[in-house]
Amino acid sequence: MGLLTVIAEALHSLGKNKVRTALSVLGIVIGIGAVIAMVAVARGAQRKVEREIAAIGDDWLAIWYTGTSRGGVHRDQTTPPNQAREDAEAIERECSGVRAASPTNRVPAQVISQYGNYRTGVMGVYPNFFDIRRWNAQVGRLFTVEDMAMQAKVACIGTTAARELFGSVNPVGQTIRVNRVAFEVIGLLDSKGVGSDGRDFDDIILFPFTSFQRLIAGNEPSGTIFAAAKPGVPLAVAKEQIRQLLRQRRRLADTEEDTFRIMDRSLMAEANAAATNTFNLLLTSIASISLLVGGVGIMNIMLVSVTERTREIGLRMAIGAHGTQILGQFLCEAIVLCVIGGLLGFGLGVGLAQVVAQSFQWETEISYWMAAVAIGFATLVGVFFGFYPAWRASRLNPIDALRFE
Amino acid sequence: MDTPLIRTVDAWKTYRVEEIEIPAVRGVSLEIAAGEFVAITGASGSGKSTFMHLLGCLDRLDRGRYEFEGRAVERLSRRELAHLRNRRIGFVFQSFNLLARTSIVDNVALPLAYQGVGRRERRRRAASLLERVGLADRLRHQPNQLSGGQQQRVAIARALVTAPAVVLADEPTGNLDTTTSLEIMRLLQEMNREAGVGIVVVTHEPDIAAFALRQVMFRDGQVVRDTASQNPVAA
Repeated sequence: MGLLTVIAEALHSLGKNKVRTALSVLGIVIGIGAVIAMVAVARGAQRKVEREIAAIGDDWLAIWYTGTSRGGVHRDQTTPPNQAREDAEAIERECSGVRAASPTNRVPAQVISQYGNYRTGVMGVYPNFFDIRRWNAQVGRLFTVEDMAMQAKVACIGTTAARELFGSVNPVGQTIRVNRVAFEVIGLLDSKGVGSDGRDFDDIILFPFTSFQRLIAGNEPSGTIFAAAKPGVPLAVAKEQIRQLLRQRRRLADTEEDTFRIMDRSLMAEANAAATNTFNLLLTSIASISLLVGGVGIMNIMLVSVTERTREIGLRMAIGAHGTQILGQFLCEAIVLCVIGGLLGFGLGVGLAQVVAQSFQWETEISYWMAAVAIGFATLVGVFFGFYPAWRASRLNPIDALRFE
Repeated sequence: MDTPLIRTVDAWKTYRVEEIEIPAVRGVSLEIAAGEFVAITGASGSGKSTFMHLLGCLDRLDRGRYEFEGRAVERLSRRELAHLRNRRIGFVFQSFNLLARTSIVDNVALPLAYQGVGRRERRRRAASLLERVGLADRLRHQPNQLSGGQQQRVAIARALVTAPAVVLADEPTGNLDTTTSLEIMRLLQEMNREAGVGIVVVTHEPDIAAFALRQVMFRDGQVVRDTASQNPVAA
């Protein structure tokens, strides 16, 4: 019998017992479909976190002053107005692992444009803040060292603030007023999206630090310093350098606690990633169990029909089929089953992933590698349990196969 | 003298069931010529069915010799045995053993598939045999749509479709009523006379054995009587 005849015979044989065929295929379809859909959801979540980390950067630190606490008595910090500025410059100058450091000051303010007004965070920063937070202008330009030296009345605006103040109008070249001072918007920032804590990174307006301090914040002491590590320098190393420097500058004795805190941005990112990993692990476990259950389903159906099929094999041998012909037929049947099931399962998985993506607004991403693994596993199970009983039966004497019970 | 179709010399077959050895065939020497119509009779447990399975190469004997058309069967490979069963031997079983959910014509054509005969030619030959056993109008039916007698006719057609040298029928009427049994035996007799195909029928019923020209009686795994029938039942 040629290959085509064998395949035709297998299809014919599968068609004869539609219930058995459908049940076998169903096991394969469910197993593969579940794996593909769940892995797609898991990978989507992973991608989202990765993109978030890429957007906000994972190589920067935030430093702020906490004051001291001695014997349970908290003493408020009296920070000289220029301390953050001097500290930031010292950090950038003296810490070898630090690429850039910027003092920042952020206050809430009512901002007015010719189209309306909006309450948002306004922030004074050094130009190197854009490098620290990896921020670029999508329209216009970022302010520079010169702008800061001249205390220029310019600002760069985040997309959320821009939408609130200008709608669909291009904000670059427009004027905004804060504290009755007019600033020219010179740049529209890239969108950083919403963090997993719900914070909108784009709801912000940035000003040159000098202009900000003089025209908006007054002489209010500035708060947080942002610093970024040099490429290849572990964040922990940069962090420790900054800590030692600040302790030295504060003249803190060895017994005294830090009067400042350094928050490691990567810690948050790691926490996020860990949560996502747990989620992914859960989904992958469920998917694996589904695959296993599907596999057991395939196995059951295949084994249930062993008796009937063994007799059939006995008869086929009695009327002259030899082992190779019988094995060819059964192998072919099993492969056809698994291929059909695999294709349907792939379709089901992709469809499910899309349904999930649309109904929950989740991101999904099909993993073709996992799809291949799932289909491979189901095929292996199907072929093994479809083929093994046939192989065993074909080794019996025809009369023993015919009388099998 | 011509080479006999079947020749066994001191054939033994022993079954082992949980450490107990049950000798089913104990030293049978028998010759059957081409085209003979033989009935193998005996009580159940006399070893007649086991002997027939040996003749049909469905089982291997433990000891002794078996020659089919002069070839030593015990020296043939599994593949050669399959070839021999396919080309030279036809089987008819007590329980018909037709493939369920498969049309009558495809059931009959099945042995030809293992010879590599094309589908169209297989069906043509199967249809012509079904016509000879009187089922020309049932080609597309499935086995469970037929009566027992009709199913056994299908099985006979399947046994004959490869034009074998001998048809081995194991209690072919065991599941049939008397009238139908006689019809089936007449059909076998007819095939024996017209096509010259050898028939070996295993049965414990004397009136079925009476159709044969020769009766071989088994008891306790041995041949106890081998007689030519003077007056076989007329067709």
